[in-house]
Amino acid sequence: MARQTDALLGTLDLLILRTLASRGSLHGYAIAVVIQQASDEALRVEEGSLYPALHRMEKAGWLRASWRTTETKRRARVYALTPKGRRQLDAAEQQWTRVAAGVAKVLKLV
Amino acid sequence: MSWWRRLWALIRSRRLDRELDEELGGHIAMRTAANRASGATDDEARRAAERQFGNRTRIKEQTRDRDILPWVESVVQDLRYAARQLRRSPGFAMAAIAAMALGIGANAAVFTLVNAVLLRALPFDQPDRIVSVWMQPPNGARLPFSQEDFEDLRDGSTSFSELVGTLGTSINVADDDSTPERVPGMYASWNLFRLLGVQPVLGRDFREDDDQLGADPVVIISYGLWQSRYGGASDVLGRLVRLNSRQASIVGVMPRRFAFPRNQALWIPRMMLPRDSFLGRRQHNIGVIGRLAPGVELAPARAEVGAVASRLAQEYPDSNRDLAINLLPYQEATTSRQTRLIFLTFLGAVGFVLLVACANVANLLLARSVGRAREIAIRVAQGAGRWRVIRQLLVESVLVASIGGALGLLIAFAGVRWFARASVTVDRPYWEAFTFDPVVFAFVAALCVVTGVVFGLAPALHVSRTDVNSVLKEGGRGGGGVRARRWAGALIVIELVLTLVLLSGAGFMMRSFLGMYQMDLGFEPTNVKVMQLYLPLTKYVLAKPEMVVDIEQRLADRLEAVSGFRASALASSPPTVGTIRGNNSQAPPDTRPVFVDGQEPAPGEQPTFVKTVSAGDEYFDTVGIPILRGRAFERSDGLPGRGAAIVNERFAALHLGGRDPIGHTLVVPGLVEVEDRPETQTVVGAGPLTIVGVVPDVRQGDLDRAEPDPVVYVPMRMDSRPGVIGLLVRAPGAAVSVAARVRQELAILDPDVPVFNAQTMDEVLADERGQYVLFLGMFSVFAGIALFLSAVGLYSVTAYAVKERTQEVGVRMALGAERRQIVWLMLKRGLVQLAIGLPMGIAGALVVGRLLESLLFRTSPRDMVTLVGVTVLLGLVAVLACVRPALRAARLDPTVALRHE
Repeated sequence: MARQTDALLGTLDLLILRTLASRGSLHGYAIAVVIQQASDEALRVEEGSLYPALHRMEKAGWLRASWRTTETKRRARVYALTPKGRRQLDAAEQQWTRVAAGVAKVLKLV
Repeated sequence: MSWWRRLWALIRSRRLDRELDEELGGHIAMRTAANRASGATDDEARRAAERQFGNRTRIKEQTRDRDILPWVESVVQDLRYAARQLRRSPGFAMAAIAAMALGIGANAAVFTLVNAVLLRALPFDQPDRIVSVWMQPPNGARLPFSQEDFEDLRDGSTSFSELVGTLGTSINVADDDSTPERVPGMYASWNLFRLLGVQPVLGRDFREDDDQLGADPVVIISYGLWQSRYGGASDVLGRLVRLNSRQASIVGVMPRRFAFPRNQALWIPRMMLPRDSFLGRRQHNIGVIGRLAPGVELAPARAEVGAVASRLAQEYPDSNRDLAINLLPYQEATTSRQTRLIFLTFLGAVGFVLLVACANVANLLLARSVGRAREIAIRVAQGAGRWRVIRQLLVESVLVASIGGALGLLIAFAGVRWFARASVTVDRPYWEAFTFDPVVFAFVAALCVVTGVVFGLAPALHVSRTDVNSVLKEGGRGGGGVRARRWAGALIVIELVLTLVLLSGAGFMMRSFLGMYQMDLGFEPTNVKVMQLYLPLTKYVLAKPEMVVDIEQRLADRLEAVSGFRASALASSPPTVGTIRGNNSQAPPDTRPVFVDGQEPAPGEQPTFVKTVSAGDEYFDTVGIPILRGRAFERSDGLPGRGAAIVNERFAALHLGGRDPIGHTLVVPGLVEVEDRPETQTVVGAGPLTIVGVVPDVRQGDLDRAEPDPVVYVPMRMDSRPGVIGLLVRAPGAAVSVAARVRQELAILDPDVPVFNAQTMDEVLADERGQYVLFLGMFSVFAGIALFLSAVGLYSVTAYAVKERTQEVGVRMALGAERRQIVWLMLKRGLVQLAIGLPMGIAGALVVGRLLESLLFRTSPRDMVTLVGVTVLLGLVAVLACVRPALRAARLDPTVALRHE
């Protein structure tokens, strides 16, 4: 599980940004659930590792965070995309497409 | 933006911690709930949730790491650690802090002085645009302007937005309500305060029509005078007051502490000066300052005034030939080069003291770090990088330096207060207040950090290189012994060198000062009293010198008849002082062009400018100057056709080629010959003076020059001017009582002539020498501190070495070494360091001596006596410092020593 997380760390940002772009404001647990479900359980992120990434992206200005009360009367920290984050998402998606295409080509040729 | 958040996060650190806990806890709780929903028990659900979450502590740390500036928090950690370490070794802490307090304190004190005298801008509007302007004869002296020349410059130049002529003098202040007093004042052009950019706090500034002939006399007074004489009364404006017997009304009061330029208490428009008292372009008494017009720079302004000077020289060759006009920024002009050099030398000296203190503390740190090797090794083993360890040690050093620096500030306060009190007699501008402003504090803060790094770096580098393995294995005794010893030795040598240089500097100054004290003054100061008279300009008119001559003669006659007065004479200045005439410090000693044997200098050649002293008949008798050849002045000297002069030996050597001066003639422009009977009113410009006598060299305002200046003495009656005149009386008793007697006699002749500033000649000499004593004192203090620090340094290093080698000593003693040999063993290293340090120190002293040469008086910077003396002194102190611990080593009990760890 840990190994998978490492490999994913570079793309963790991408996943988080995309999730928030589609789903709006979510707290950390919800983001983890979405990623797991959307990937058909293929990507089971070590859930804790979300948080350093979330805080890092918040400091970088890509996300905005605030405290909300959930339906279960619990306090949770909710994250949302900022315009800057949206631009970062576009850049990261393009990069990911390029890298994936490159990998695919190599796999085919080699 | 993210930067600020991080800083903000540091402050809110605890709260953020709690919030993060809440956030992560919430996540796990939700996961737990989900697990329970899929059927797990409470316990299993929770455990699964936590497993899925990952290592919570690590996650927390990873997240927090991004919240704060990590290095700031670890520096705080370092500080707390350092404080703990210091508390654990109080001996080291006290020694190090004391050394730093002395070093930084001395630097803070000197920097405050330098800041006040050299660095701080003048308290005026755009002070760098204010310039001082003067007339310059070929000998480079700085002469004030004459009234006419000033007006010509003002009207004929465009480089200045304001140009002001000034005359400082003491002024009698009298009104019907209180006792008259004499205060320093200044006649100045109406736009003086406009030039400076300072406005009265009460009333109004001068207007241009105040500064015209025939205008109603007005005066602006200082805040201090307003308080002391008028009690701060709000109705002071419009009050009438008699200034030198002339009535004026007060129109304004200047702000608190304003006393331009030195300690003036009131300002009067220049035109209020009795106009007919200042005829003649040869009368140079107007100091000039100007403000450069916007956009005008120094060089073009200088060129313009130069052109004005040439024009004046052409139009008025008799008075203005060879007189150039020059200017400099005001701040530069009012700080003599000597003052600047002296203060810079202080800065250098005190810098040396700081280096010695740093070397001392570095040594202490080195000794201590060897003992801390184990602790460092453990930290390195735990994963601290080398740089982390170095940084922590540096934080420790800076902490020591800062605590020392804070204490040093207290020392500096005291030191500056002392200096301010001791230098009260030294002539200086009123704005030079020795206060602590933010610049000083910033300087001290920077110094703390820099010194901390300087003395901490070497030990830190050394210690961080410890071989962890060997240290941990050997139970803490670092093998860094040899290298540490070499460092320590090098530092001691450095201390010795610096101390020797400082001691030599102090020694040179001391010799210089002794030379000045022992210098043959050329006259006999015992029992001589000096005082000043003031012939009011309103009563005694320049154009009628016979009035002055008359009262001078009658006074001389009366004083001659006083029993108890062995001799008395009027003079333009007493010996050693520059000039007494006028309170205008800008006025140099009376310097005039002198033509020997009627020779006019060739075109382009410079006439000789010589100091002249006007003296009454009994002057040489009064002051105790022997007549070497010829005779003293007689009653008839100075009468028409009988112009006479007396010269000193230096003059004869310089300007008469060493020939016997008697019989040669001198032409001194500007003198007059007054008939003996003033009623006949014949006054003629003086013809040639015959030299009738030669006297030994006596200093006139050049106490600090290597060679005395040539001086020409002329009879008082040939140079009689109203204003301030000096009176010398050889009589026993207190100066006050002699002055009272003179006042009695004078009152019979003219009650409007005050007598003031009575002192003994010894007091005058003490004043003149005063500042040299001050500087000598300061140098000695610095050298003394350095000597003390070096001694302490040597002592502690030797003591530590003894402690280190206790076991070795035990072994040697057990093997039969005698006490004498043990002592020698311990001393040897110290002596080697001395042997290296002293010659280098002497070399350094010679270099520094060359730099100080201009400050020394009749002392060569290679003076052997001084050098040998201070070397011996330092050597003795150093050896004594080493001897005590060495002797203690010899007294060790070998059985105890052997077992010492």
